[in-house]
Formats: sequence, C-alpha cells, structure tokens
Amino acid sequence: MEIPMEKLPEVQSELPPGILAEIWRDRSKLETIKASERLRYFVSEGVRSVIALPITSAVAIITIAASIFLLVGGAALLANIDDLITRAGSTLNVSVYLKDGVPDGEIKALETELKGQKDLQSVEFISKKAALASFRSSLGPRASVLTGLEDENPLPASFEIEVRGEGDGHEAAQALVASLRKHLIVADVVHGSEWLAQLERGLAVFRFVSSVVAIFVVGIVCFLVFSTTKLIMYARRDEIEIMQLVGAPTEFVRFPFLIGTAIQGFLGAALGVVGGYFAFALVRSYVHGSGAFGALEPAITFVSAPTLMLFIIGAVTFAVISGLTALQRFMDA
Amino acid sequence: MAGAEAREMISLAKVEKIYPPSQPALTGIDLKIARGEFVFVAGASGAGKSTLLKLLFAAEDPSRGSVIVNGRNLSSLSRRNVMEHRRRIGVIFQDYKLLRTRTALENVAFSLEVCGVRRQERLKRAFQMLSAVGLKERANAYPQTLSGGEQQRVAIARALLNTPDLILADEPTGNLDPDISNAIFNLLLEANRCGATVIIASHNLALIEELNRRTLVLDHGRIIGDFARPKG
Ligand SMILES: Nc1ncnc2c1ncn2[C@@H]1O[C@H](COP(=O)(O)OP(=O)(O)OP(=O)(O)O)[C@@H](O)[C@H]1O
Ligand SMILES: [Mg+2]
Repeated sequence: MEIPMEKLPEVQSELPPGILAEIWRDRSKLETIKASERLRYFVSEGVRSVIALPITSAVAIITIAASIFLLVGGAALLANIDDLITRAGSTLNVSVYLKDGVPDGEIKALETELKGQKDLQSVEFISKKAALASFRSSLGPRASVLTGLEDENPLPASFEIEVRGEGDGHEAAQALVASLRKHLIVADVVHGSEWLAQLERGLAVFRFVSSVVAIFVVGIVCFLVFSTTKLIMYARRDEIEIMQLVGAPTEFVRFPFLIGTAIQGFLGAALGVVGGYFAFALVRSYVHGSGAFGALEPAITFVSAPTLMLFIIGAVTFAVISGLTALQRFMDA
Repeated sequence: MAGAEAREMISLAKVEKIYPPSQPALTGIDLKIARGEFVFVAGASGAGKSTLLKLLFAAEDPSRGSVIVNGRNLSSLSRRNVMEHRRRIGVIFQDYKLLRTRTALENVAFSLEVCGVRRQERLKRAFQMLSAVGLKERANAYPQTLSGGEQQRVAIARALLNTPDLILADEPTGNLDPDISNAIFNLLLEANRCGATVIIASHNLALIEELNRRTLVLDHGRIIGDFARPKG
C-alpha cells in the first residue's frame, strides 16, 4: 500500500529556521554546574542507577543481606556458645549433703567456715524443707506423689557451693572436697571436677573450630558480595560503555557507580542485620521457654552494636572496593 | 607547518588497522580533511567505513601509523584526554548507542550533561533539538519503545546538541524514509555551515550524488577514490 506523501511527518517544516545556528551561537553561554554541586549530582545519579535497574538491585541487595545474615547469625551463635561454655567452666558446683539430725549450731559453724574461704564464689544452704519444696516444684503437676512426705522428708539438707574454676581454683576444689568428705556432719560430696577438665579441653577445640568456621563464612560472604558487585557492573556495562563513547569524564562513571554500589551494600547489610536480629529474638524466646539449659540458662546476647556497625561498614567498604575493581577492569579493557 | 596543521581537522598517515587476532580492516590510509569540510565515506559493507570513524574518536587504536584529529595525536592521549576529545566530537553511531535507562529527552541532553551543563538548561535545549528532528511528542519515551528510525533521530539530536567541532555520522539515515533523511541531511549541512567538520559514512549513493560533496571511496580497507566533487 502506498502511503500518501502528505501523511509523512513534515520534519522540515517543523524545524525552526536556523535552530542549529542559534544553538551554535549560544554555545559559550551554557551554564555549567559548579564543583560544589557535583556531589549532589553524583549522589542523585547513584540513586537513579539503583532505581533504574530494579531487578538487578533487588538481587544484589538480597544477596548481600543473605551474606550478612549468615555472618551475624554465625557470630551471635559462636559468641553465645562460647559464653555458655565459659560460664559453665568458670564455676564448679559442689553439693555437700549433710547427715540427718545434725544440730543447727553445727550447720551454722560449717557455713561460717565455708564462707570464710576465698576460692568459693557462693555458698548456699538448702534445708531439708527447701530441698523438698524445690523437688516438688520441679515435679509440677505430678507433685501429688509427694503427699505425706512432709513428716518424714527423705531429702537431705545440703550446701550448694560454687568454686571458681579458673587458675588454681581447680586444685582448691579438690582439696576442699577431700577435707569436706572427712567432716563429721557431711554425708556425701558430689562434684564435677572431671567434667570441668574435659570442658576446658572442649572449649579450646571449640574455639579453634569456630575460628576456622568464621574464616570460612567470611570467605563465602566476600565471594558473594564480590559476585554481586560484578553482577551490578554487568547490568550496567552497556550504559558505562555508552557513557565512555560519548566522552563522559571518568568521575561521571565512577562516582555514581560507587555511590550506587554503596547504597546497595548498605541496604543489604542493614536488611541482613535486622533479619539476623529477628531470627535471634525467635531463638532466644524458644530457648528461654524450653528451660533446656537449667541453671546454666544463657543470658543470650545478640552481637554487640559496635560489631554490627563493623559488619555494615565492612560490607559497604568491601562492596565498594570490589565494585570499583570490576569497573576499573572493564574500563581498562 | 604549524599553520597547515591548524587548518587540518584530520590527518592520517600510513594508517593500518588489524582487528585482533588478524582481521585487516584498513590498509595504507593517508588522508587529510580540512576544517569545515563536508565529506562522505562510501564503500560496500565491510569496506572499513565504521573502523575509519572509530579511529577518529579513539574508540579503536590504529595498528600502525598516526591519527591526528583537531591537532592532537590520538595515540598519545591519556584516558582523561580521550574523554575530553570525545566530548568535542558528535558521533552518530550505526547502532545508536542510546542509554536505555533514560528517556529520549534525557538521552539527547546527555551530551550536555557530560559537559556539566545545568539540568534545566540542557533539557530545554535538548527539547529544541528533539523538535528539530521531529520527535518532541516522544520526548518522554524510553529507547526500547521507539522505532529504529526514531532511535536514530534521538542519536542524531544528541550528537548535534553540544555543538561539536567534528561530527562523525555512521549511516545516519540508514533507517529513515526519504523525507526524514532529507531533513537530517539538511541539519548536518546546517551544522557544517555553523563551522562543524562533517564526515558521513553512507551507502546512500543517490544522496551522495545529489549533495555533490567530497567523497572518499573505501574498498577492502583501502581508499580507492577521493573525489572533490563527484559530479564534477
Ligand atoms: N570488533 C571487530 N573485531 C574484528 N573484526 C572487525 C571488528 N569490527 C569490524 N571488523 C571487521 O573489519 C572490517 C571492516 O568493518 P567495518 O565495520 O569498518 O565495515 P563498514 O564499512 O562499516 O561496514 P558496514 O557498511 O556494514 O557498516 C570487516 O571485515 C569487519 O568484519
Ligand atoms: Mg559500519
């Protein structure tokens, strides 16, 4: 079908006469932005570049978030296990069961003697009554099986002693146990000295393994962040190539790219930290609800604020550096 | 000698271009183009037209010989100076090279943006230029939504907007119908009257003949003809 000539756009008549002459004449009048406004331009270009490629940006942010989540989660877990083991190892519990029918005066005398020793962290007297009450409460609803035991309570009174586990506390504990065994009013002494020795060996192994794991995780995180910034680079490489062909100054390419990468690194890291915190809160409520750790119930602390800042700053710095490396390699090619 | 150099916009001596690993594209090119000239580069597909233009804006380096443009020997330029050199040249790429994350208007304005021109000012001028190529209705469209001919006109508007000393046009009317082609050539002629040196690589022999300007004929990487006025 032949298109009637009148229907074609009449470009020539649309063209104001001498428009180029006008533009050429005014070329020296062009108002350029001041150096002080450059930064604002680079930032807005950086933001624009993140928004302009929403899918790439989302993938990048999520990848970085997942990496940081892994790192924060790992750090929190290691710190808490370490704390738990350290606290378990720092005290040694000794239970000193007393014979029945010992006069109060002798018990008081032993208590005073024990409290005078410097290696003991705490000394608590538990009467027969208190022992029964605590046993009862530990049975919960099944406590009814104990009805009638009030009169002939079979549980002995005892001293619960915590000995400091560090330094020579270990030997002090051994000596204490030996001397208590010979005491007239003492029926039996139960302690976890061997367990402590094992624990100390275990702690050393755990710390070694956890630092190996930490290095491994950091390695994975670096790799992920590096791949992500390469992804950002590749998504923008046509744009970067065109900018260079048109003669954009190097900083026009580099700074917005750098800012865009930093924004994505920051958003990703922040998201990872927030996600890590929620996961941590969930675990904490679960652990506290279960009572699985008994007397050793961990305080469960999250990664400290300065450490979190370090993670975020580290992620952003690493993202920027690896992004710039990828960009530089591309620009040199 | 210095005077002669200043008069010349382009001076190529014994230039050879072999694409790695061993694809010859240009051989034994000796060429001078004075400031203010309007020159066609004709030749079959694969003759080396685009390669010749690429040497002029330092998108490719010659394998041998020297390329001097606007008084600068391109082989000795730092990256910063290459970029500065390109900002003084308006290139109309055979494949347009538009930024797909920017609208038609922003693409046109981009040649002023890289020169640091204020946003309001560059958009105002870009809009004028977009009108001049008959595309003001499509100002806010993204390149992917434009036809080939429309993209080409955006590329042309971008190349002309920063009033370059040298305009390199690679098949600038390859996708345009005759009327729009004429309009585009009129724009290029006007830019030439304003003082820009214009070099156009083209297959369009009818137009080359009609305009009757200096024409270089390339064949297999060699200049086999240099006609001051093809029609005499
Ligand atoms: N990047 C490249 N790598 C290798 N060979 C190339 C490259 N670019 C072009 N060539 C080759 O160099 C020769 C000249 O190519 P060029 O693009 O300059 O031709 P042209 O005259 O512009 O052709 P057309 O009219 O089709 O655009 C061709 O043989 C081509 O295959
Ligand atoms: Mg070509």
